[in-house]
Amino acid sequence: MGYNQPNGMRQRRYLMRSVVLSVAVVGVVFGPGRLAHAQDTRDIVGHVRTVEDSTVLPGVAVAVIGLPATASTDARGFFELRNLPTRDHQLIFRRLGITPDTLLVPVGADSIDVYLVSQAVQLAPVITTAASPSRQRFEESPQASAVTIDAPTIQEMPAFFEADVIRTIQLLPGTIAINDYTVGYHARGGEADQNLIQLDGITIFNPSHLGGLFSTFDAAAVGEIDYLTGGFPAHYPGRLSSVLDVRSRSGSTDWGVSGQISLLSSKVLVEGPLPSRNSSFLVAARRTYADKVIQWFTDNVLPYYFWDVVGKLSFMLPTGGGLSVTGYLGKDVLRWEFAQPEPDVDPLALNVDWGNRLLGLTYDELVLGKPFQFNASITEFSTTVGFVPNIVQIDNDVRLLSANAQFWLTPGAKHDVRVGGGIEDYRMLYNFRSDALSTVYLDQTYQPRVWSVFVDDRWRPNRRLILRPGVRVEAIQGGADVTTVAPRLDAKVFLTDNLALTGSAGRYYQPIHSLRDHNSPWSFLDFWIGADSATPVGRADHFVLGFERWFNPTLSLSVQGYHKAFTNVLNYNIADDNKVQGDEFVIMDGTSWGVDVLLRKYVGNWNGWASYSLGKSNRRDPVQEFAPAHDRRHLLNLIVNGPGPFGSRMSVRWGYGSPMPYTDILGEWSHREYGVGANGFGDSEDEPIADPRLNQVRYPHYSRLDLSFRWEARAWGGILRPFVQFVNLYNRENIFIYIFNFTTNPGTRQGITQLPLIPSFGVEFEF
Amino acid sequence: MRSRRGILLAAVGAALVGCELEEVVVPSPEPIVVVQAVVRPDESQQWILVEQSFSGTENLGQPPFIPGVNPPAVPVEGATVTLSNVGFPADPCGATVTLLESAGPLARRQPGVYWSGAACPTMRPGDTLELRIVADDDVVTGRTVIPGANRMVLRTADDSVRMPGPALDFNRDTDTLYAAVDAIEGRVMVIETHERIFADTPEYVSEASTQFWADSTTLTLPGDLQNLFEAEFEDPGEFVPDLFNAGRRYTVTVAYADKNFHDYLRSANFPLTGRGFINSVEGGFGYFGSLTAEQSDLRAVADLDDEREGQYRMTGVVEGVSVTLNWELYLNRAPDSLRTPFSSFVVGNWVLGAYDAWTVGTFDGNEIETFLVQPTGSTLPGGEPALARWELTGSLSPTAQTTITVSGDGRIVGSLTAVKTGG
Repeated sequence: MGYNQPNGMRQRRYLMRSVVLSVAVVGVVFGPGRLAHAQDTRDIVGHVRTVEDSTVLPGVAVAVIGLPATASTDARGFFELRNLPTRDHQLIFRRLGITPDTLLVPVGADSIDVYLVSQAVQLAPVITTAASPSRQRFEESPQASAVTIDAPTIQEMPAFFEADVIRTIQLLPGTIAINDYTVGYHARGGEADQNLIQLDGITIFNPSHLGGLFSTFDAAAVGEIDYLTGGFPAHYPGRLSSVLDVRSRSGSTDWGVSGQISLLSSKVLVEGPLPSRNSSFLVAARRTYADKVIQWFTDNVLPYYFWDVVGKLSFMLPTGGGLSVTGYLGKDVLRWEFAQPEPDVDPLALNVDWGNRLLGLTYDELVLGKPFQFNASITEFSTTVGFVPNIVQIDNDVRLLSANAQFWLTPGAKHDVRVGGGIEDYRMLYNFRSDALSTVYLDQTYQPRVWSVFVDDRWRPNRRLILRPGVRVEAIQGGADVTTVAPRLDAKVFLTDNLALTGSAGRYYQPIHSLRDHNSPWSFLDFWIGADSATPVGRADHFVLGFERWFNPTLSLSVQGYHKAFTNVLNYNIADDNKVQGDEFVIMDGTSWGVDVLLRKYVGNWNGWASYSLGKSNRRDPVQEFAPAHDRRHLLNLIVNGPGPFGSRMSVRWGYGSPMPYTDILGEWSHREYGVGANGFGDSEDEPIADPRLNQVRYPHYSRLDLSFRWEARAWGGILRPFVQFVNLYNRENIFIYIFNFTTNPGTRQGITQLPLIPSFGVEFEF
Repeated sequence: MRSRRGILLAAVGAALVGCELEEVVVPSPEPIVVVQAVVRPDESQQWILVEQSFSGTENLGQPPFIPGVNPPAVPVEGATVTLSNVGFPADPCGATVTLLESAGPLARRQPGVYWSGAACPTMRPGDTLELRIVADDDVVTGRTVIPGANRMVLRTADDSVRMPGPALDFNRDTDTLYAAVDAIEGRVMVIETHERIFADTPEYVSEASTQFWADSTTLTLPGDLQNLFEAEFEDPGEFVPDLFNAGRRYTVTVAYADKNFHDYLRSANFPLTGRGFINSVEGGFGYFGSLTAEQSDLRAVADLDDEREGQYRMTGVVEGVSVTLNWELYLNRAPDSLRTPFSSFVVGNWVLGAYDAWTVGTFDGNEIETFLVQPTGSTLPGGEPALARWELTGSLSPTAQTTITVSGDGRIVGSLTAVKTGG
């Protein structure tokens, strides 16, 4: 992402700021007892962070001068150098866009924290971005089916009013959104509830606002994202299909204010130092105000808005460890006061609130010279629907308390073992009542508790082979009372330095489910239930085989075939009896297979990716076999970022999707209202009747072109970035649903489209 | 609670920004046999509606009231419809009871509506009744378990009644109506309110009713409950009337129904998917449920908060007849900018004799506009049809005697002297 400056120079500002000036070292010596095996060799481990804001620096190459030993910092900024000769060493730190720097590490200083001062870098007009995280993964990890997306990539994408994390990952191979509106996404034929979505390791139950139009994540507060669509490692808790691991960025230790103003919403981000050294905070808040704008200019009312706040505190501990606290609070509010206000009469209104709130901490420390991490969090998603004052109230509250700890062990130069365990304590409450009528229609609780342990070994027997065996064992309590054993294995064979075969196999379990009608094109919210004596634990088996080819340091091609077998996938049971817990669903199994292709150019004046997915899914319930609503055979997305007109940066996204299934309508009926007193039928509603054979027909093809232009200008001591965006530029009438009318002769069908052409503009600012 | 299915669709539409495309003609699907049937041991004759799904072969008008007004748009005529009480093999009505379109009362006979004979089949609480419909090549079957209750009770703050029973006074400002069923068999309780003008005839203001249900054997209705079902959900700030207005008589029906009727109440086909309704028949679509019901009346009253409220006595001569009426008048809630509405019980002697009803009207200051009606089909002593409606205009004063003019058919037919006597 680069912009024309008044002086003709271009400047590149990394979200993760580049390192150029100096290296500060804090050596932490834990005592001679911890170096027992270091009579002949020594190990050097440490974290690399920026000195301004203690942001961890992944992808930094660490080399020992005079020795072949090398390492790279991982996502936590951690590196290890094993089995070095017992003497002083000079380490050199490199990363693309960083001036190499060296550091003398004397004997005894085996655990170190490296602080690197960062500053903006003046670059040549060629726009570059460090490719090292992806290349690093290629070289060092057998993990297939993984894509890393950084914040600039997300912010550059054309979007519906603002940069959006979920919309971005929906453009990656193997990922399908049923339509422009629905909540969630589908990874390699899995259901939307099978995606583990975490912010700094804290699970988020519902990642969307406004029925999926906006994601929960404020892109300005996001640092980096790992998206794993299969074969994910054993430390991730139970989901069947994918992991979206979002890491928020730490605040800067310099004061800063940034934000965005657009037609629909505004947001602001404030960051700065905390009193303790190298500690910082970041707070970002946003609110939509279309409700206010419409009210100012028209007589119409849009009784909806949402707001959210995300914050992060990052502390550097005197021991050299790190502590971060992440919090999020968000709420969607639909407040429809449809009754005339009157004195002495409670206003009659429809109130619908839903939102996430979460709080979690991550504590990193070196214990006995080994990295140790502890996470604890509480996350909630609650929904309240009420006809007030007291006519009807529906409450759904999902809460998860979790704690886990993990160690990184290195029993030998070729093994990198990670062990850990934890607990997840769920509670899902459903209550549907009418205080006015003094009756309770539904009152159910699910309380699964999951104890887990895992071991995961990245094993490199030789330079051509990386293996990653692992296993996760979970004891699921709360009615289900089962113990699951989930073995996993990733393998990568390097045919050349730039070409590798990848494969993975694994078993996955999921103790919670979201009840959705798999026949519905639209899901507004997720309603979670947990495993108990009647609700089974979901299971999936993954098999992935493919290859990854790097043509040069900035261009790679990944091709992966997969097969997934699902057991105990749940479909919503429309005949659910509210007084019976355990009949809320119909149990299904199914399979998905496909091929995902990703050609990605990471950096350069022109960059982007082309993704193609071939997929086929089916589900079997006790009655029939059918294609789920997300069964899309072909999906193609082209993302191109490059220079645009008038000195802008341009981003283009074009997507094509083959037809999606829906269930045909066989006619309509008059659902008559029976009057008990009159013993007769009065009013009626004409309702469609669906074919009992699910998803036998398909909507037309889908395609959409989105376009955005961004400029950058300096003003008032800061930076302004105005932008113009177009969603669905050629106004393709992609079908969202069909509305049938068989009460006329002849019968008709009317299409309701997905997002039409929507232009928007706004400005980002940074001071 | 009976839901308004349009609310959901409106909410969906409000949340989305998609465009509506032009309608295109689609082929007609094969019609489906639709059955909507509720059998009731508290009714002497049973009837079952059999019709077809709409398949784009008819232009439908307004929904008819069934049975008895307009026929269903696409009735299934000439079907063989039978009921069998499989729980009572010795049913004196026979093992199988055949329902006929021709067996209904003349006023309620319609194509597609099949009637049983009187008191057949026998239905006792817990009996299982089987329905079988053969229409051309279609065979539709269903089964219901007959509900029953030892008794049903209505209770207000100060009084209670075992249904059916005498009318209860119900202070809408302070009381909560409590209904309970001592159940023998069944699943869901329904409570329904009708406005009822005349104390002695089963004539309603309209067929409109408000229905609530609960998956239990008790239900309450607060006196100040606003009638959500009267809301249009189209404009913010609309006026939502009260469920109970003081000065009016209500017939309360309490019913206890089987599981199939419960499923009918709580489910509907979602407009976006065509799924959601819990079909309780096989071979077709619809439901076959059963219920038993009882009725009692409420006189809705209220605290007197305005000096215009209270008791009035009106005397005079109308159409040559000396009349005396006692009014028990209460103001009702109203939307802003309109005249203040009131409702009033009216008891006494009117043109045709004894009169026990309620009416509505409006105040503009102390000036009133109101009317009185007679039961449909009333005649004068000589057999001439009575006026359907008398208009009353004039003023009411809390302290002084006033005059009310009575007119009908565009002419003045009498006058009344009004005096406030209480409240």
